[in-house]
Amino acid sequence: MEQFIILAVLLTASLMISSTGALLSEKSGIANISIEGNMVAGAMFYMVFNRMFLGSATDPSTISEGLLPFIPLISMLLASFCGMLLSSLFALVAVRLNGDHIITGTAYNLFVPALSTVMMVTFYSNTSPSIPQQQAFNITGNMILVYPILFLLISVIAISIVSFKFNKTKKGLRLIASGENPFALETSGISVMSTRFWAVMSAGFLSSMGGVMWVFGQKSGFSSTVFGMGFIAVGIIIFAKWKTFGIFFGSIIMGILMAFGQSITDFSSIEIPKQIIQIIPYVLPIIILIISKSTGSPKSLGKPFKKDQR
Amino acid sequence: MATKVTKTENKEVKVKRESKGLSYSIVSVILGLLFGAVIIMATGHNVGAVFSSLWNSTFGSISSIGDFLGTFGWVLMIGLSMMVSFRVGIFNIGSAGQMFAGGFVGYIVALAIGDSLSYFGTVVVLLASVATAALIAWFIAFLKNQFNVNEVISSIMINWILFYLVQWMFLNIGDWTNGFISTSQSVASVISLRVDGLTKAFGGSTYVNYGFIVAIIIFVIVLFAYKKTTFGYKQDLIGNNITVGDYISLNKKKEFNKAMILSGALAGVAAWMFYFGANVQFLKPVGQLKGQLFEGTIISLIGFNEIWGLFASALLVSIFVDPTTTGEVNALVNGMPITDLILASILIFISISGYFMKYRPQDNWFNSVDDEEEEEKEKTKKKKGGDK
Repeated sequence: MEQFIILAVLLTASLMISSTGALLSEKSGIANISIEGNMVAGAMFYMVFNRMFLGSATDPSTISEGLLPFIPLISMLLASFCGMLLSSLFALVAVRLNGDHIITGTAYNLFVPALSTVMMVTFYSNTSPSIPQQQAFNITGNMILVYPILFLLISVIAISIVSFKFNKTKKGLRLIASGENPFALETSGISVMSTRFWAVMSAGFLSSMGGVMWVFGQKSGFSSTVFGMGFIAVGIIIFAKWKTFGIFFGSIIMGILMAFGQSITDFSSIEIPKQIIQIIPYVLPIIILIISKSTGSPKSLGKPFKKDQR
Repeated sequence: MATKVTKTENKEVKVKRESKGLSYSIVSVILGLLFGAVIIMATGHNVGAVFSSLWNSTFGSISSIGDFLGTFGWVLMIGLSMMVSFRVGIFNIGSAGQMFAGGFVGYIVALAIGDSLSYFGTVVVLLASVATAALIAWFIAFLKNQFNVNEVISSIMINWILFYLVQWMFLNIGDWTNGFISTSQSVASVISLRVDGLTKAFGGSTYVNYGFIVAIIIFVIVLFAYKKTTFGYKQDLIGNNITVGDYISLNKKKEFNKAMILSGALAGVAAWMFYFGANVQFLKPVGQLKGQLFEGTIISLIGFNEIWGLFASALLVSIFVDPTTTGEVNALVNGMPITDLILASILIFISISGYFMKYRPQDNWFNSVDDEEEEEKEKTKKKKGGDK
């Protein structure tokens, strides 16, 4: 039961921060399915930095005992930053070069796992290395709960900041405007390009962080995939009708469902097929799209912005 | 006189466009290969050895050519499936899920009929796969037409739903396993697309099957449909400019439906070739949909959505997907999936090159408008002259 709660908290935090990132990018008008790739990138860099800090199995850690519990946090920040840099590839093509968002996103989603496997082979000489668990970081006793709660806190703070930005600040309004009517924004003297570019970059940062949170809670090895968590994050946005408040609750529901799906073998008395629970996060967005007349999506979502076209 | 001139001009524009697409594709492929070379070098392996092994393990011997042809059949079909949807302006990213589900239903049917129908059984299996895949594709088109659900979102979600459904059926309904945990029962040899004659002709190749012959026949039919019939013309019209379609009162929902059903059906054919030719077992679904089911996008885009371009790009991509080649090449670089990385980077470069093509459709469109205006001016001049 304790394991289940920890997993649920981690998955909720991961989904919440990834959907927040995706929301930033979608509100600015970039249809971002590269969230999946970003999460893989975050997890990949997290594994790489862990390897760098902890050292190989034959050459154990060169870091003092006192610093050990902080390695996940440092690795997470570095990994998110690197994930953001990698996502600039998507931002460059989708925003600056006016490529098709969905095709570019698909390309990115195919590219990152391949790159990740190459990195894993280089650093671990194994295509699906085992993930460093809490024991490796010398986190024991009540400390085990600290990281999941810290992650959840970070996610909640991130979503609050984004919500505040959208509702109360000029920059947030500009971001929304670039998704609703980019020509109006351009006319008022604000660059749509740079607004969208930084929205996609912050989406890269946040969803890479989400990938780190996901990989932190996994027991089996990291095989260069996050098993569709990125698509669930996009699904949550549809489910929440592009509202921060809905994302908050949507990700809690989905997080608990996903944790239940993953650890259902622990509850031997319940005989629901695991797959049926895993399907729910994918069915809900479609149902929402079918039954609701207005989806609340930004009007210029997925349309490349060309200054000279009007 | 004026109309004749515009026709020839249009032809020239078209030829120019195709050659433009060709040059971008070639540049992207070269850049992708260079990127792969850089990665190989950076990880401390021999670039020359890897690329020569890429060539040798594909065309080095008769049996490896057989393996290549066995892959080429389904690669061509999945690329064609993607092209059909791209040409009408829909991104059928669900072709992977359609192929997967079609293959599974085909597998159920194949196990059920065994060898009772002899060689006719494989036709039944083909029909089952095609029907399933086309039905799923139709459902996506139905959601788009009826409820205005974006086809990309619905197909991504449906891909995962299908994956988990098939996984559940595989693990819980019936006994598919073959004593081992990860491999399933093989289908009867009369249903399999592998024929002794072909295998012998290609020096005992493992993967060669008659799928590639069927693929080429279907390719010719689709080529004819797109070049010579009104079906292809309508599809291209809507794909190029949706407002023109509205203007001549073309029912675009109908065209979307047709395109998706055809796309799904082709994915079903690909499934038939993949699960009963290139493989003879349906492997236990683990984790997520296999990456190779997603190659359709790459194939179609390298071929810049032109039919002959698609044929060439299917030949190219088959080299990188061919199981013997990937096995040998990736073993050389310590098990890194270098072939996947090269393919994915080619796709990234292709999507970058979209930047250089962005003014393409407009050129043509503006030209034709100018011509019409000139014609009208001439007519009005003549009329004025007549009045006088």
